Amino acid sequence: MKTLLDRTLTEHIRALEAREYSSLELTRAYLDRIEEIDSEIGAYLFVNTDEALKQAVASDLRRRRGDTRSILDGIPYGAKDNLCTKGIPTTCGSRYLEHYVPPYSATVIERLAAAGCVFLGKLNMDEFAMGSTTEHSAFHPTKNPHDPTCSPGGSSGGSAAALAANEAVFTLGSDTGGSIRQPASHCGAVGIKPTYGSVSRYGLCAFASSLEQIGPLTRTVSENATILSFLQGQDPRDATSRSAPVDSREHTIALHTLRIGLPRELFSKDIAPEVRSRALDAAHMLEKLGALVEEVSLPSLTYAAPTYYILSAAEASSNLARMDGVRFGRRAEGVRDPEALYCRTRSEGFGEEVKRRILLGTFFLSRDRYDEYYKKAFRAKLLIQAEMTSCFANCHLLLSPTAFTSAPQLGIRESDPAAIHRRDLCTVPANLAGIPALTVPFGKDCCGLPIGVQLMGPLWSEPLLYKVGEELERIRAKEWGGR
Amino acid sequence: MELNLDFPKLARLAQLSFSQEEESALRKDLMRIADFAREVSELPDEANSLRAEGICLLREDRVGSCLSPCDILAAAPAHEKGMITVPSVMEDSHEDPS
Amino acid sequence: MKKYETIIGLEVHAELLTETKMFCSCPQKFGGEPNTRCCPVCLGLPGALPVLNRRAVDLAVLAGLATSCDVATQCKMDRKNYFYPDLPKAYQISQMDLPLCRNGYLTIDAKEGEKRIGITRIHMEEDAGKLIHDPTEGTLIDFNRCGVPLIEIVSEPDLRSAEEALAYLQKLRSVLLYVGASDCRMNEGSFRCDVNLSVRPVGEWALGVRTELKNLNSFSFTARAIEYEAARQINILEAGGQVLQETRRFDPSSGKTLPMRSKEDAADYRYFPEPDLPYIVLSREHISALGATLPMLPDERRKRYREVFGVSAYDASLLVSDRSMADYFEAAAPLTAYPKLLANLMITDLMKLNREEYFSCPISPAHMAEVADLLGNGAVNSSTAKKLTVWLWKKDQSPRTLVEEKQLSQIRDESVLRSAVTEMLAENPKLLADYRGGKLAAAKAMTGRVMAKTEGRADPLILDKILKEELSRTAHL
Repeated sequence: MKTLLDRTLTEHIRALEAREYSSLELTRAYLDRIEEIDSEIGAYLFVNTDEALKQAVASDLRRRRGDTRSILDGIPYGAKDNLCTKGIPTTCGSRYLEHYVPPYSATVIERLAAAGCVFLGKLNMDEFAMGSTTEHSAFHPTKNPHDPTCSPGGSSGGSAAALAANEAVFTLGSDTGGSIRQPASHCGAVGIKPTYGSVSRYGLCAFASSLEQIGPLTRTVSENATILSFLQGQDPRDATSRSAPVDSREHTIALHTLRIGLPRELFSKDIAPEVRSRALDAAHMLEKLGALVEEVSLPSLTYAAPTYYILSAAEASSNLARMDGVRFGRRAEGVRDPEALYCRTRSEGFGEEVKRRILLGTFFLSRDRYDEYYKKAFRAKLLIQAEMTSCFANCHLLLSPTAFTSAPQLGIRESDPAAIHRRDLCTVPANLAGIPALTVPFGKDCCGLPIGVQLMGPLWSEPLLYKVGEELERIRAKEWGGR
Repeated sequence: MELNLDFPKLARLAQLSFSQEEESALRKDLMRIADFAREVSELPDEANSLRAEGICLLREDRVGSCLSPCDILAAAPAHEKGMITVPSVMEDSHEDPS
Repeated sequence: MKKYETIIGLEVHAELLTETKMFCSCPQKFGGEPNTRCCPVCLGLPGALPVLNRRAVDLAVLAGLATSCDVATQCKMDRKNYFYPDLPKAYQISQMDLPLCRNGYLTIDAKEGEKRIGITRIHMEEDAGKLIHDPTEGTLIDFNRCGVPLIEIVSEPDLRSAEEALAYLQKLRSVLLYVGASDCRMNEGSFRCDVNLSVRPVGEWALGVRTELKNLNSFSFTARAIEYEAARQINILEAGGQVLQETRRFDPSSGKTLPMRSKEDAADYRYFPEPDLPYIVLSREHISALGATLPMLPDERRKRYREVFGVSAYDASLLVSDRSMADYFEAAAPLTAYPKLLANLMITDLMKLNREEYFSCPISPAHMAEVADLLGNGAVNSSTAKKLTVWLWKKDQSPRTLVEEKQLSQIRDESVLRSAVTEMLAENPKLLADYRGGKLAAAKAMTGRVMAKTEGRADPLILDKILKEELSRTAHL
């Protein structure tokens, strides 16, 4: 008999419907769990205790009246702290926004509230989503529940760790260059970066507008698909958002007709051997089930990491300029000169990584450098998009490792800052091309740390990714039984 | 390759200030990252201009809801007479567009 | 001393007449309590996103079509990055290299005849907030105006004098009013002008160093600023100096332009394409459909009024100065046999009665046409016609009925007029004596007295004839 907190979403939905337990009991169980363990893990920045209990009570009342809002009514979840939540502090992991309380909620938050979900709280992250270990949070690092000496990854480290530590049924993260997928991989979770534009970004504190998407982190693939269905859909408040074209619904591709590509460029020699072999194992096992697997080459991906870095730093330098101490957030004390006000406020409020990226982004956009960096990177992005699109003419999806390694140790100080960015290679192509990418846990390394395998498909191919992802789940269950 | 990074100008454009130590550490980091980023310049220039996908969603010209001044001022670090205050900007200084 | 010519280019910002702001659905209106028309988008709060106002695009297209521009079927928005307290996002969403409209022109009446002034481009952008300087509190910011839709109209440096600049501004204002793109109220800030000015010796082709003049809050300030600045630059060059490229403001009390404090190095705005707004695509059909809704513009209308309705050039200019007045004239003119008289009545009487900023008349065009007819065929005289318009303004009704009811028709019966004249002469011996004594003004007074007797209905020509007859008949007495 599974404990309450080990149950899946489907099991909770059934149990709530059968009145086996109430949303209030479920919510209390999670709040207790958070209280018990989060001082260790550090996944949450804000726990919405009183309101969550009220929401749970309201959900139970609705259920008694036969008035539930959706299948998710009464299900508790947590959200990354760069998603605006009305009346609830939203810090983006930064001192600058330490006391900021938004007057509105993000569209995804509103949609889940309309579905009746119970909101547990805000989750830790690298400051303004810049980082891959959550150590750049201005407040505290988060620990990987699989090994507390390790980082959970980043920037949605809190979202992944909370899930792994049973502190929520599901969580929301954001993915600009792998920030959902890499922590999901490090924590043994399922995470997806959906098709660009399929989930509204309204209310997501922007880091790189043209690259990022909000997505769910869950324990299983089918839970992930369920949650995503509540988040996707055009939002009139986001001009880049769109709904799936009608003909892109359920692809039923039988395994024996499935063509899977393994991009040579993403199986870099710098990838940890165990990670690489897990990805190859996944490919081989799918092959045994009838899929056609072959190596493909995408030469433009050699430039994916620097392209990503330039575009994201440039957009970030502009998106973060609104943090100026005038209308909201922290303001430096005792400053008489308005220009010094901006400078001091920002320098005091931002951490090292954020300042570095803003400076570089400013550099890449500066008049003399624009052509050489930004314009070139923009072209590179379009080339990558084009190359991946034509690749999908010959295969249904691509398979690769998600991250270069399993979860790294906390406290490592990288001497070469560029090296960190090179290790984003597997995840950034999906952000650059706008295509969906799913990470599925697939085994552990010799230290017991989870390893994830990534599936990428053409635009709007989430149904196919989920189908193959479930296949990988079945294989994993057979090979290693459970998690 | 030596990259000419005008650090003080960038810092001014970005409205950031740094101590001496921060600056020298950052200079090194920035050089390395800029070098890494420069790899994109190896890509050939495309003769035809590639244009990004996506067509703009337009909005109907209908009035919607606004925030109350209370909500606006509640988040502001300083306000007076219903308006947000900053230290005095020079009266005849200018910036675009008005 | 060398002869110099002044080279002027104008940048006009006009607020578009939409219900809501450029990128959010906050209402846009002049005035109002501070910070009552704001939302996360126009306040630049984290996570807010812009969505382009369809009507703003259409109005900008109309402005472009009305100035004979090429309207782009594909254009984009860009971010212009800089820090300033009235700019919440620390960038303005504008258009840099792919503006909506290009290569248009306006025709003005210059000294040497008609002159074409090129319009380089028209692009869309958003307005910033308002800064209010307070001696004790510092600088106060009102964000109501933030995000209001603007078009920026940039002229070629084809203007050569303050007069030409004013003619261009009048013409541009008139065109924008006609297409309904903007209400162009300089005093409310919905029509702003910046001047770029340089001078060069006549005969030279290289352009001189130019300065930018800002904060020109009225047409007359603009003219004075141009004149002062041109003279200032010429003086510098004559003295062997160099003009400094800078931004200056006009000080109305001294009539001088003064340098504005600005950042030392030229701003680097780090323009890049706005990632939150994909390309704006307009079909040729849509642009044509908008073009079909363009009203006939002032120049064409003036020509029409003169050719078709025989209205004088002066009257025609006055009629087209206000689009609703022009529209009214066009509704009434075909209904009368005397459109010239109608034009006159509108200009002298209706314009006076109208107190609104725009022409707004409660009298139906058909009734006004009737008044013109009554006057034209002599049924009433001009002072009665004036009275009629006043009454109709108060209560719109058929003037013919009114004339009958009040018995206002012109008196042309000579016997009636003769007895009135005779009566007046008997009642005003002093006037008669004055007249005989050579005071010609007395004749006018006598006419006035008869008019009063006839309640203003006497036909002035017949009255004049009869008065003259009576005076000469009794002269020997």
